[in-house]
Amino acid sequence: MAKQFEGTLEKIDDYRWRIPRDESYGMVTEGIVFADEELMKDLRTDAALTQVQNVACMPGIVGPSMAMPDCHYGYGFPIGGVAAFDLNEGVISPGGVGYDINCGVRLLRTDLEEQDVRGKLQELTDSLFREIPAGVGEKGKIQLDEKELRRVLERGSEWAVTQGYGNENDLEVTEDGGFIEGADPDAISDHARERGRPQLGTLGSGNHFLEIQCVDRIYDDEAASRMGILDEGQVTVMVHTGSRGLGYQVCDDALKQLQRAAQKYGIDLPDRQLACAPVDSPEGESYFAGMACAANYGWANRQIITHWMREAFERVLGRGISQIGLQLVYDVAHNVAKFEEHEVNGRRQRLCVHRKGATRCFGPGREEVPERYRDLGQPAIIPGDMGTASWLMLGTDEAMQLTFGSTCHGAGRTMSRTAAKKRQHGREVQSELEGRGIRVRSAGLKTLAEEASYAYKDVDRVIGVTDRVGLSRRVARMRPLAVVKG
Amino acid sequence: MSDCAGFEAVEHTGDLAIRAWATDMSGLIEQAARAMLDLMLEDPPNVARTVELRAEGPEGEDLLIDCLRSILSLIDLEGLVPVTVEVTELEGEEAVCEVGVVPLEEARQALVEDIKAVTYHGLEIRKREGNLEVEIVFDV
Repeated sequence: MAKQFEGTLEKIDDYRWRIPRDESYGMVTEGIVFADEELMKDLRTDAALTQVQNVACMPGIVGPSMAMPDCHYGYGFPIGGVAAFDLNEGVISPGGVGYDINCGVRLLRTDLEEQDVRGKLQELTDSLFREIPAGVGEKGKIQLDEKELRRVLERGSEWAVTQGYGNENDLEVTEDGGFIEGADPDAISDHARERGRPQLGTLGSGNHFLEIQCVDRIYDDEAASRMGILDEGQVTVMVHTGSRGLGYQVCDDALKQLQRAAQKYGIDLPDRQLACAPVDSPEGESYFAGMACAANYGWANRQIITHWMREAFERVLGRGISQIGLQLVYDVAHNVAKFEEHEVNGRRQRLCVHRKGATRCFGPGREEVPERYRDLGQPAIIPGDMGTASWLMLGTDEAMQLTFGSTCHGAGRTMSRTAAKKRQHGREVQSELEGRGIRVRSAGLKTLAEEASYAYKDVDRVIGVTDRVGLSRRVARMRPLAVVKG
Repeated sequence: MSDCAGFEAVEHTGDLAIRAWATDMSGLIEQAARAMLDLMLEDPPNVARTVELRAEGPEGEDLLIDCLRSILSLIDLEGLVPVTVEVTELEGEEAVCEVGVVPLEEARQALVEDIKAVTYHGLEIRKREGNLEVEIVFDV
């Protein structure tokens, strides 16, 4: 495991810290960490800062190695890590994306108020739990032959919508329209196919969830209204999941191959989990083609889950979808590498931007932002822990300059899973949440203990830093009413 | 369990980590595998049958990781939950493991932690007081 940080840390201002370039460590650039004093206290106690430093050693990195305000210790990149690489001299790394490729979040708005669902939360969570398989090793209801699987891998959410799982609006407000170009199903292994085929339309386990929420506070009336968030008390729904076993296998396979590639291209790395290859090498191109397949699978997965969620709401509430709403506000990926154009030292440059536990949040005017939101900036969906709150944010011009248009992806853990389980039993966590009016349905009580609020940083503090430093701006805060966990 | 071989959980903020030690490589693979299963399982049912797994990789860390990944993949690929692990052969770049398994449907309640992957993060087999020792981070 990585050592606790032993390098130099300089405070730039109230929300930014610099790890100066240390050539003796092999750093080719500096590290920048976005945090206030309180958040930095946590970071000093583990090896997250060492991981920021390690990423700063990777060849062809453009700009600093960055950590978002929810940063914590991960493997390879820190969680909350952002790094961009030159297309000719830089690298692409599965360690900068993670195992759960295109783990991401989507937010749906409804025409319901809290009182419309309050008495139905048990039925709703039971129905969601029944209709959307959750937990370890659960299989989905969709049977995919090879031809259909290839279409999922190539076209992501678009495949799902053509099969009747959703509508054109869903595609319009999904990042990249729900699929990345360049996916090549021949780039992934048979094992990845075997793992992926039965799992489409499943939630998984760990920190993945479905959450029924209500709007707690609106910070920007006009922007919120444009996104269909109209009133405090309005019900929203959030989905957090990714590419399941297929994504893990693509990452596993690539890490094995890229260990050899790093040697072949003479790339010296401080951590083997940062295994990488030049972006324009056959190995780098093959990883991107496979990663894009997994990213597309992740979008299809969230799209199918959304469809079944809409059906569950219709059935339980006895109303048609036109009376319920459940329109997609936006869908973001927070574990992915992408080719994007950014301004670097006054020149436009195409880069390979890695975000691991970080969310793209492009500012106003970017063509990647759906036309309906383009003058506002890209929505970013930031889930908190299951007992506190989640946030709807908007991308900013500052983020384009500071972080290649990136922001945080959640609250960020502050306590290990082992310590969280020792502190309280899952049943107690459930009981406390229910005492506060938050209905919980989970495949396992251990997961509930691991995911308790005290295991996470204060999401409002993380969002406060994010907003004040300008990485994205606050639109609305949502509080949980009911949670379905894998 | 003797002091010459064993395992323990190690704190990790985001994921799960273990430390394993043994006198030789076969023992180290077994201890690391047992540590992984100890994190995943609670009161597992008795072994229903055994399966043989072959893992390949450059000696040392790569072979160890390949063994653990093969054991872990039984859940998704075969619908079998690994419960016990014994290394029956180890020669050069190849290891053979005999894995005691239970069908997933019978072990679902016992499967309390979803370890998704075995990482290379900070991976290094070290010699310590005559033993081999390794720390491994698992993605969950």
